[in-house]
Amino acid sequence: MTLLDSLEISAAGLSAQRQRLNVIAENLANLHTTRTPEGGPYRKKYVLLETRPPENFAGVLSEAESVAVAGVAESTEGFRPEYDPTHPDADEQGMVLWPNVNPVTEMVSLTLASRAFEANVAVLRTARALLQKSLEIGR
Amino acid sequence: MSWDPMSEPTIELLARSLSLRSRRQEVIAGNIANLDTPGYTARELPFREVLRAQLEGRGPVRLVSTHPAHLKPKPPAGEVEDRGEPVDLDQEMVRLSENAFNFQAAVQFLNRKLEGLRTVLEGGKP
Repeated sequence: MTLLDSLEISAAGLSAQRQRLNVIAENLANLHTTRTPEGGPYRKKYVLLETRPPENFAGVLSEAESVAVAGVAESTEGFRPEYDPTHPDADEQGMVLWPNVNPVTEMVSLTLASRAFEANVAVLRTARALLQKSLEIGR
Repeated sequence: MSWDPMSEPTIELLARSLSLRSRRQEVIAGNIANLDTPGYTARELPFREVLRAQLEGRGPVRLVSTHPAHLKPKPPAGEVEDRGEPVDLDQEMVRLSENAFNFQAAVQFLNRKLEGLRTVLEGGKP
């Protein structure tokens, strides 16, 4: 039933966007983290999304593409150095390395992710309305 | 003149139309779910063309499996088009509401048609 598949695709879209929101929150929360278990400052993370056929049997026959999180990757951008010899994490030259998180980019990603989330909610609502309507056939 | 209410062309048309509309809803849902997928290009199910092709009996090319162990790949090749451009959210939202509106309209038409048939079957009794 394609309307039910539509619900499933939108649900996959919602969870993909929620994962993005989580990672953006993590990036922003670690804006000033200079110590990580791996050593060194925190590295900005990305969520990688990929298309995937819907995950049921009908997925083999489906013509629409669902979405899934392919993984979370770290940014290779260099850390932001700042001269602050009094900081406990400063090196011999008095330089502190701050995480490579840019709050402006993160805020833009946050807006985009929440907009995409809402778009998926709108599709979900529409599919639900159509399913409801199809129950009225012959009434 | 013979008339068979079970092969009523309007009902047949509306049923096909509803089934295409729900497939189109699925394609639009896929586009919006893949809004942020790198390299994804928008898909489209051209309603008018596909419906016309179906009514004229020019269905899509279907793959035949000659062995029970054959996997059936996505069969309606040629119905869903790849528009070759990235997903435009606003355009998709317009398509979404247009599609939903037409789906609901088709259901209403179908109900009116069935109501009419029922009146005939009941001999016009109130």
